[in-house]
Amino acid sequence: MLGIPTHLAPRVNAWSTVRAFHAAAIGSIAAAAVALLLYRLADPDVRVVGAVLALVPMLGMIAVHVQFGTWRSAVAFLVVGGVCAWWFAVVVQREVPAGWVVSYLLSLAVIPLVLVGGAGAVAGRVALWSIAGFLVGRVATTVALLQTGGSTHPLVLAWITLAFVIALVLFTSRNTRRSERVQPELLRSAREEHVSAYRAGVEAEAAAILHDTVLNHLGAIALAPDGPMDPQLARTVEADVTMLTGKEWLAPAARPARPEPGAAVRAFEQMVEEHRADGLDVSVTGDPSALARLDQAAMTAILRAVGQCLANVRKHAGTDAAEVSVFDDGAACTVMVVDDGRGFDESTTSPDRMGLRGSVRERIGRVGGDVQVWSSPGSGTSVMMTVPYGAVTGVVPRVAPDGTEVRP
Amino acid sequence: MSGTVPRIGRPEALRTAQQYDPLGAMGSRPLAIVLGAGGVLWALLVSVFDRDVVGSPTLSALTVLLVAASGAVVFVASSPFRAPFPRWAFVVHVVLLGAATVTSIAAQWGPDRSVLNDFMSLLTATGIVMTAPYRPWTDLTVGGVVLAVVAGVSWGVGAAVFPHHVPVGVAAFLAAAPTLVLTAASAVFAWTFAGLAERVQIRAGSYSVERAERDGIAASVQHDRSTILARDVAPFLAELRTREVITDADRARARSIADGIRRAMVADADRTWFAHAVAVEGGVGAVVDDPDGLIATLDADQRTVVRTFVRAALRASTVDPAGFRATIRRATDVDVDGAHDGQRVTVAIDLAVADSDVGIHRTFDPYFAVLRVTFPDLDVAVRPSALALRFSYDQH
Repeated sequence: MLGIPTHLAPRVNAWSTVRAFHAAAIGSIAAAAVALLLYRLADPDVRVVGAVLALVPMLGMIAVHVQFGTWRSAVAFLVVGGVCAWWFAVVVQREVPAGWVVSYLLSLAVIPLVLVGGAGAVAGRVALWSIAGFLVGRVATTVALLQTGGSTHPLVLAWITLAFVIALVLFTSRNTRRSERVQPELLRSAREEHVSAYRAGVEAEAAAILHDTVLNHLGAIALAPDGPMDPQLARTVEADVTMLTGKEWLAPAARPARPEPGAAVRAFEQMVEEHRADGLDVSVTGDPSALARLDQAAMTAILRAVGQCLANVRKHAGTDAAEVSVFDDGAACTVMVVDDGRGFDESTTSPDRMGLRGSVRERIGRVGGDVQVWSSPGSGTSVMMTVPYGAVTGVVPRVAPDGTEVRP
Repeated sequence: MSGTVPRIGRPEALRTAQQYDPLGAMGSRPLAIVLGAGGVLWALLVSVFDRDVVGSPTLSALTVLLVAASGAVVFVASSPFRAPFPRWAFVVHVVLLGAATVTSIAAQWGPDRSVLNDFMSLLTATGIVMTAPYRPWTDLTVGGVVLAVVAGVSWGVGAAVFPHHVPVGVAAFLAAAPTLVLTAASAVFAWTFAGLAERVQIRAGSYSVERAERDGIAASVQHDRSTILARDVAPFLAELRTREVITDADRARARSIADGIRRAMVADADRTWFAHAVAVEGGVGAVVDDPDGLIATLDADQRTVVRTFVRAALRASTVDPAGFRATIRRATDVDVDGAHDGQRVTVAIDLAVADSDVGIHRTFDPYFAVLRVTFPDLDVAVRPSALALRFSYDQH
């Protein structure tokens, strides 16, 4: 979670602040009503029902204003609220004996007007609406005081509320500058992060393909006997270079769609045939048609990985036979490549031998699969590759703004 | 799925406005400071000049000290370096304000008083408002109600012992009312903010690589590889095809080309996103010491925040890229609960900055605020001309 986008942060803040204002306005009206009712309970001579009733239209109008939040609803609230404040002030002035309680109650009636919040949630205008609300309240209570002939009240709480609103507006409007500088950088990094993760996957696949083709064949040349190049080797080398210097050998699959039925099995058989042509006795068991249930990217990955396993058997295992078994367990396709060759200890394999790591493990990992290797010197090697059907492949999964995961 | 994993706080805890928007909370901190300082000043002025009864000057002084202490707690705990604002600090803040309410009543124990002259009933209210960006609405509500009850009971007792014109219930309620009203406002602020922020927050995971861009990346990687092939491999193979036989020199050349490609591939595979990001931002002489590639275990949001800081640091005119050093190691110490034993990674980033400590703060404070919310144990050491960051995280 990286914060709120720059253009939305001030609005989220201002909107939450205006909502808080409205809560305080409603709280203020409720507090005035409760105080009056408590007074009435303690002293039945104090007739406050009129003052409590005066608060009801004000409460109703603030509910309307909270609902609509337009300048019209704000004006309507100030008009109705002004009249209510006057009515409230007249009754309180006449009925409530203690001076400071009158001042307190009048403030509680004026505070909702100060917290009108205006239309929308624009900081500067909020302050202007507050000043207007304060003036309306002040005028209404002053008129009531003149009518009833009471002494003037400072309305300390209303003044404090107005000062607080203005201070809040000043601070919230200046605090966006820093985030304006940093937040876009976070957005940019988030983008770079995704591109970089995607690129790393493509790089790894490119490395694996290079390893399986050019590196393998250069290795074969380095070990070739004196004399003319083996025609089979010459053909594959030619084919590799044509492919790698040609177009789009690395292009992502058009969609992670399922290949046409039968194509997977044909590609699998062709790959096995190529290894047989190179002199490896490959026996196929299980159900190769399970490969057809994989999507295109997963199928390509598993065929390339199996091809690399067979190439490893030919080069390193010291045997000329291998078995490829394909299983379908309902949720995943599992392919095992087993040989009874000399085996090896994976932990002692030189780190620059990229075959098992890049061409098998990481390649299967990129399509959401898993690889297990059982081998020890002298006891042959079994490589088990499992790829779940419908695993996310090829692209980093993404999350929609509402947090739900989206399959690319 | 990294984009959806909550990284901040305990999973069951409600998030605060500060955690949703660390930069915004950093911006509103001056308001909390002004409110705190203003409260202390007001308490001091009223205590000296405007008490209804003389009462106890010692208790008055104690009240001002308690108010100052509560403001200091908010000042310290709201610092971006200590984010997120801890619950214990909020509890201490509330307890100090509650104590100040009681001592304030005790200081002017006697008849003839008006609630309006008791600054504490307003200071407890602003005390809750100050912390609105830093605590969830539930904490604010509980804290506010506690303070309102303390104010109401204290005033109620005062009004009962020294009856005045005002009924006890009214005096008690009016003493508590500002705190109740502003607590409601603060809670609504925190609740609305969290609700809105949850919908619009930026998540690194919300980006996707577009189809056109994917093709572009594939084409670019392919181009890089094809360049090597066209330069080294293709001419060699073409030459080989024209010959009748393979010689020792050909075999040696095939081996050497293969070794070269393999070396480059191994180096690429071992280079982490972090080393790449540092290199891209011009950190040629920068040192990234991460022998086990542990930095790869950060999730997407964490990477984004670290990447942003690295870019800002290496691009700052006062920073010498050659003086950038990042050390990433498996944590050796066992966590208190033992849960993270062996799974935690510590990151240390040291920078040489040709600036004063004030200048360093001015440049990097917003980044620290974001880092701190992402890595709650971030430790920042700023000295003139040097900046050191330490943080840790669980492996993913």
